[in-house]
Formats: sequence, structure tokens, C-alpha cells
Amino acid sequence: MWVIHFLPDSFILYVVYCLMAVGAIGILASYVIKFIPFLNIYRTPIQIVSIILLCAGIYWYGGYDTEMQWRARVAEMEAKVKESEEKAPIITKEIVTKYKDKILVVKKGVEVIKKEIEVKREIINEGCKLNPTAVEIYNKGVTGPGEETR
Amino acid sequence: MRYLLVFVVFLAACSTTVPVKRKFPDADPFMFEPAPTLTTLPPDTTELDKLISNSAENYGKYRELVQRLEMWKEWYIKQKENFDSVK
Repeated sequence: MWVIHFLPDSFILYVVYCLMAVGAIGILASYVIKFIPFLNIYRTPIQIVSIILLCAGIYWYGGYDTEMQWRARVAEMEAKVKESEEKAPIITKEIVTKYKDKILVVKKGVEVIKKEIEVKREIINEGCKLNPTAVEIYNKGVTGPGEETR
Repeated sequence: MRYLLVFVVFLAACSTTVPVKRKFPDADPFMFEPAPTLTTLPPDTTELDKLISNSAENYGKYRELVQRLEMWKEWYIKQKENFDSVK
């Protein structure tokens, strides 16, 4: 029933009520016209049409109810999605701030260690001289095997 | 027959899924920053302190990368949680 998606709620309900009313009135009328001689011949067709209209009205009322339930569900989902989408950048910001701080701590830690090395430079270098081969192998370890030393 | 087809098309029920579009959350530009590159020693280095200092720096870069990886993992878990909360 995708067509009714494009129609306003009040219009759908109006049509459905009209159908049910016409059907019900028609059925009642078919009993009344039994007593009117010249209209009596139309009794059966009026009764059939009225029953069809009433059934169609009841069926569409069910359809309308389902349609309204779906529209409510869509509205509910849209609200939830909106809330979730508003929350997403807040989560991102919180995480980024947290890890920016952690990375800063790591960087500060490195600086502290480098300063300590600088202070104890004499002790570290005492009686030790690096061989170019050791440096070459060390650099290979840094860059990975098969890569150029930068 | 033509009218019957039109009637059937108009009565046909379509998809029952809720037609709500969702947007994948954007990550912060900080999260896309490239991984820090490890530094090598100049080939003529003879002092041990230079090597230790360089190692300390590279270990620091590794630890920074660990933090960046943890950041992505946490971001994914929390965003997924938020995304899945819509049902």
C-alpha cells in the first residue's frame, strides 16, 4: 500500500470513515427499501455494494492503523538515529582528547629519558666506542631488512 | 486486465523495513595522522649515548603508535555500541 505513504493521515481516515459509513447506511437502507415497492427491485444490488463498501472500509481501516504504526515507528527510529548521530562526535572528541593526553605523556617520558642520558653521558661513553658495523646493523634493525637506511 | 494490473500495483505492499537513513560517524583528523617514523643513527656515530638516546626515542615512537592503535580500537568499540543502540 505504498501509495498511501503520500497521502495525509486525515485524508486517509476521512476516506475510510466515508466508506464504512456509506456501507453501513446502504445496508440499513436496503432493509428499509424493502417496504417501498418501486425501489424494492434495487434492494439486492444495493445490499451487495454496501457490504462490499463496508468490508473495504473495515479492511482499509486496518491498513490505516498499520500505516500509522509504521509512521510512528519511523518517527521513533528517526529520533533515535538523530540522538545517536549527535552522540557520535562527542564520543570521538572524548577519545581523541584522552589519547592526545596519553601521547603527550609518552613524549614527555622520552624527553626525560633523553635528558637523563645527556646528564650521564660521560658514564655511558666511558671506555666504549661504537663500531660502524654495529651502527649499520642497528640501522638495519630500525628500518627493517632490505630497506634503505635513512 | 490493464485496470486490474494498475489496481494490483497500487495495492501491493512494499518493503517492511523502516526507511531511515543512517550516517557513518566521522573520525577526527588527529586519528588519521601518519605513524611516526623511526629514526636511524648517522653512520659515523661512535658514542654509545647517541645510540641509547636514539633507541629511547624510537621506543617512544612505538609507544605512541600503541596509543594510536588503542585509540582506534576504543573509537570503534564505542561507536559500534552507539550505532547498535538504535533498534
